[in-house]
Amino acid sequence: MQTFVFPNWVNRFTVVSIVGGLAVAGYLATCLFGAIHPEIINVGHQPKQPVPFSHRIHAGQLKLDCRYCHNTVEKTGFAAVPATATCGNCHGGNRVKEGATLGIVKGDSPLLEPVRVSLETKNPVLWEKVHDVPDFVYFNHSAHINRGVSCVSCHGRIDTMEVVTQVEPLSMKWCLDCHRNPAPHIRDPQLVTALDFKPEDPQAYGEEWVKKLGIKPNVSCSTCHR
Amino acid sequence: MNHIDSKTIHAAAEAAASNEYEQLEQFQAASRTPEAVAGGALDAEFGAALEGLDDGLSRRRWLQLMGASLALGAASTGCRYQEEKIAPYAFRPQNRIPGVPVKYATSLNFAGVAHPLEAISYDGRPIKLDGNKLHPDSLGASDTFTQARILELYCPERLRSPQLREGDSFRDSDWAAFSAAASGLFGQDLSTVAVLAEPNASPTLARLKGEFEARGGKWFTFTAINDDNTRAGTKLAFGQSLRPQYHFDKAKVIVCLEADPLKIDPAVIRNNRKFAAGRDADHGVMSRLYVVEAANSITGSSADHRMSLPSSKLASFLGALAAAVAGRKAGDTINAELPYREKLLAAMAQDLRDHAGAGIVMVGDSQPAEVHAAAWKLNQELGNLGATIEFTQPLDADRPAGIESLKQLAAGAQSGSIKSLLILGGNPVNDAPADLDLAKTIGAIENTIHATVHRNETSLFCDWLYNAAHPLESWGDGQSVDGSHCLSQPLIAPLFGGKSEIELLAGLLGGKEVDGLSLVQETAKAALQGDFQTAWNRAVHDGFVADTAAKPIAVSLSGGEYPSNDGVWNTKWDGKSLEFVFTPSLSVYDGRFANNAWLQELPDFHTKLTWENAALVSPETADALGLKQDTKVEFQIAGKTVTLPVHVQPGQARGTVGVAIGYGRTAAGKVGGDELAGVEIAGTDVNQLRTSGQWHWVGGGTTNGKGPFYRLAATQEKWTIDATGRDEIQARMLMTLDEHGIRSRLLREGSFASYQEFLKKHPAGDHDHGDTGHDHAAEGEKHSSAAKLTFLPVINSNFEPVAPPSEDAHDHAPQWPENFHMHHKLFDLTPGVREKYKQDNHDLRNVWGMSIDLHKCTGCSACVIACQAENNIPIVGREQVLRHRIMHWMRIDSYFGSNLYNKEAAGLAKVEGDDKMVVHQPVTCHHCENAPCETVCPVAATVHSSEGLNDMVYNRCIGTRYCGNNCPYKVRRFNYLNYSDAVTFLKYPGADRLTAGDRAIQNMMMNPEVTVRSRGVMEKCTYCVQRIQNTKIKAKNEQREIGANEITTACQDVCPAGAIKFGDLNHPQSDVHAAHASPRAYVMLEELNNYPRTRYLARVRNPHPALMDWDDRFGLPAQGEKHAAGDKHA
Repeated sequence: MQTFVFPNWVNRFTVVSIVGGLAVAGYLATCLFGAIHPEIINVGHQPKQPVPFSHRIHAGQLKLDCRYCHNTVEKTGFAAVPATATCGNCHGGNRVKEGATLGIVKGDSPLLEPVRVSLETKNPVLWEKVHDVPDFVYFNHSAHINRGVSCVSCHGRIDTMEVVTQVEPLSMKWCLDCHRNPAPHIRDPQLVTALDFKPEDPQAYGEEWVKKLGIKPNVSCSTCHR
Repeated sequence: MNHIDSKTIHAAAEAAASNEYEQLEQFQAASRTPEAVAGGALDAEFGAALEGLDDGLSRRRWLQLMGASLALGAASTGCRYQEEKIAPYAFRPQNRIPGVPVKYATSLNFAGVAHPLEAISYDGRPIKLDGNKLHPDSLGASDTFTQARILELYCPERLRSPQLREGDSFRDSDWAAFSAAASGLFGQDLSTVAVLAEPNASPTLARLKGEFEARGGKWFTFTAINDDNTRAGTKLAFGQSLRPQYHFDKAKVIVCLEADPLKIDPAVIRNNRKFAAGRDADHGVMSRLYVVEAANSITGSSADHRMSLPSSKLASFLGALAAAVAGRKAGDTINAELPYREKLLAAMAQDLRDHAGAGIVMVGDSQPAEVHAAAWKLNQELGNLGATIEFTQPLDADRPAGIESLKQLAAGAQSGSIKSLLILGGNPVNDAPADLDLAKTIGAIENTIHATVHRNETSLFCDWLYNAAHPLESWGDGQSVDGSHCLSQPLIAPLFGGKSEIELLAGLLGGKEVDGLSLVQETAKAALQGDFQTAWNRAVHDGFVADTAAKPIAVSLSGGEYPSNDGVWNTKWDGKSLEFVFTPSLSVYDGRFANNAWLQELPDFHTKLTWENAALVSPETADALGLKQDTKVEFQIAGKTVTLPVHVQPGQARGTVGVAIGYGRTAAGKVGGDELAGVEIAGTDVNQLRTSGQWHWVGGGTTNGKGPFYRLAATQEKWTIDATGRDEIQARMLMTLDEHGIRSRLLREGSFASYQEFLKKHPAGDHDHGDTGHDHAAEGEKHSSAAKLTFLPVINSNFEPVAPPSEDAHDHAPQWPENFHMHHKLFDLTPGVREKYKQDNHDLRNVWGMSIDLHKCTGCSACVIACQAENNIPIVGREQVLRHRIMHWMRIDSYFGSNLYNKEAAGLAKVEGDDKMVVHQPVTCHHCENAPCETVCPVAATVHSSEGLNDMVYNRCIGTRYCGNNCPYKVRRFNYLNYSDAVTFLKYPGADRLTAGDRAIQNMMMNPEVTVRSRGVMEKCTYCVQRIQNTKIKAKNEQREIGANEITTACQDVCPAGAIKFGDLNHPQSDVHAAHASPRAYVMLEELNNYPRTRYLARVRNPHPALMDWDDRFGLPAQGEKHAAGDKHA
């Protein structure tokens, strides 16, 4: 009786299929990793806003302080996107009669139409949230701003951005990195909105302020999760 | 086995000697049905026998749904979490900071008076109610009913538009149609128009009522729980209708005859506060409280001596008391030979006589006017009037009694003189005495309108329903119990439109729409002094007009006779005939909160029943009649039959059946039950047994005692820390029982006299319990070598003696947390843990801790609901409660004990079981340093914070439930189903899920500072970590230290007695620091070496010396008794 013998190509096939299978699995794993890693999915997030507000012009060229618009940032957890009335101080247009103090810069620009509509109807402009942490994270802006953490540490050089883009992953590891070694991100609380400020030796400068402000960041779970 | 005989023989003696507090189930064990016994311990432990219960969603179906939702989830979700929009104001109001909660003063009318409140509004949504800190009556505390009112505001079942009857059903209508129809009825001449309202303390409503009556209209008032008898009593005694104001803080002796000033009383908050102030044992102030009552009340469970007596015999008791007082003079001694009950009467009389002018005799509203008048006479003779009791004139002093009022309405309706009826709120059809048949009365009236927030039984008989605005949505006013003029302001625009009662009535009277603000301002003009706008702004800010409290008025006794001293009170029960005693429900009150899921699921303070009422009988009554726990039995009474589940409850008077009213509502809604919609009805209606003649109790009931098995949804056994388990733990820890052969006790208590003696020996600051849990060295305090007597001596032979701390525990320089002394020599299980603390928390700051004073706790359960409101805790529904899945983070354990201080009484209580003493013990997460839950979590979802909090990280939790199993205090709760999704308003899972719109309404109520948990996640008390973190951030922003008592937890805020303290153990000025250093402080389950951050303060009782034949000064039992106790565990 003739015995069955595997043909020669089976040797090659076995090796190729094992290697190929591993490669495909690796590829899929990489894809999955890429698809969920905060560095990849969060950094560079740049949604389209209803009004193409340019931070580069306002904060960069015109040198408006961050807190002119985000005026609750020192007092509460939310930095609070400004009320439309704040926009209206300059861009009120001429259709709204009651707010006589409203400015008329670019009063006819079609891009500012949502602002004017909001002022007229008192309905909010629906902005897209760019920097979003999950709902089980209780981040507090005031706790950081008052302790010398600059806006730039988390939001990057907003004053150079035409369209606001997320530059940091805002992942838990990223938060903890700073809570464990805060010095490189601590500065004189007077300078938190000076986005272009760069000390010569950030570590040494930061350590000085850490000492001055008595900063001992907490890394307990309940610091951010309740 | 050798011990069995001796045990039997010694049973009675030992029982008397041991005075062990027992859990309820031990009383009920004898009265169990075979079904319940068959289920046995496993059942009690796991709820296993309930698997067959139809919960509307079988396990298989659940898996299917899960599979489907997983598939969907994979297909539809992107990788990034949901995109969110930001909707800022167009014009942000001045001083409004998004995300910062604002507090507004307001008030709510309840129980005929206004309760001054403070509402927390988060971005324009009221999310929590607390007492008004500025108002002297409240000072920040509130009660269960107040806490739960917020749920009522956001109930999706509220009426959303006026409804017009069409045949047997209603159809949606609108304001225009309603307004036209209603105005048609309100002409210039109102002689055929009537209003039926609840008693209300609103001066504006009173003003409108005056206007209405001046034009010929007739005004009727009725509510089920009222003070009609008290008013009638004062009328009989003093010739005018008055409101008594009790000063419990000034009283030395308080005798409550079926009165419940600590729960069902318009002045409940003030009473609690003053009562606690009058019992400050640490500073040598201590009143003595005697309670005589048929059914258990909150006040009864706080009593130093409680006697149970059928309601019908109370008049006779008062007669005997009056005679005894008259027959005694100050300083008399009490004959020790008298039988216990007579001795108790003598002691009561002697105490009243000895403390003439510093006593209170208070009679409850269930007793007729004659008994009230007799009590006033007794108070007058003892000189208590004007000293501990004062009187003020209530706003509606001329109000007739509710039942009289209804009778007049019925007469008017039958004679045809009333053609139109406007019912303002309330639910009189459900609540009225059965013999008056109010439904028939309403049916006889041509036009009927019910202005109400929710549809109810009364609505079903009316032609028009009007969607009234909730009091939190409208301007209003009211007199608080002290008579001060309180204001309520709208906290949110009416969610479903609608006007308030005063706006509606004023509109109908005036023929045009009026806004509430101008009505309230108009009324307030009389009360406000000086510039109106300034004074008004001040009043709105404060929530009341300052200095408007009613002035006490002088009274002179003109009537009242003592009942005859016929000795009926001391006669024995015939063993057959039952007296039904109707009590207000402490959950649903008179039924008005039947559709409030928080209150429905709140375990009753005593029976721990949820979602239903039951026939409460004492163990002896049950024995005599063959009644079994957890059976549904028919009772015949006054020609009627009612079927009620039986619950054996020690403390109920012999021969009586206690039953709570307010249950069994047929048109409450999706929570409380709705016959038309097919929603299961919660509890049993007993209003059919209550007639206008026999409104509070009715005698002559019979039963054959037999009925089918019916499992009651009680929570008492669910989280029992039982003796078996504790013995086992002790064995596994290789621990021998201590020298007295006993475990440490969960509860500790002692007598006032022995505590005073201890304090005298060890003046304040001297006693070192070694227990302070904070760093003495840091404060620069010297560790004194003082008193080593460790604990309040208690006379309980079974009281684990709290062995003196071992000497070596004090050898080293005390430094937190080593300073914790252990009563037992134990190994330190994880020394590394504490080392780690010190590294993380270098200066040992913000060492959070809590203390719960069992001496002040009355068991009122306000903390449970406050916690629920603060922490977004869902309800689970009756079926899930039966499966032991209730979610409350805080529970109140009740223990029943014999009289600790009198052998005879102890023996008597053991036999009779109806004179039990009760201790309530709130239990919540203890935040152990050496937390057993943390060591078993495989995913580190529960870990320690550097400030000693036992953090629960929901997002990490995978639901193994190991932590719950390993928690010795049983305080962890697991989300078996997605309770937060559907439940808060609807019973889970029988009812439908919430629609998107209803969900949006429910979401408005949630506290945004606390994560809403979902299925598969463990949760527990966090010490209100959101409040801690927010206060810390605030203090840091303001560059200051956190104040000594700046952070308060929700349970602490609400407690009217001030039993709960929270704060930094290392802050020398903090209340909790002082509490932990108190000689009364002890640790629950100390032998487990957990180092909990919560400590209890032992309870102090103040028994009458003549009723104390047991010397408790030495704390340890006599030799023989010790052995008897030891045998038990041998």
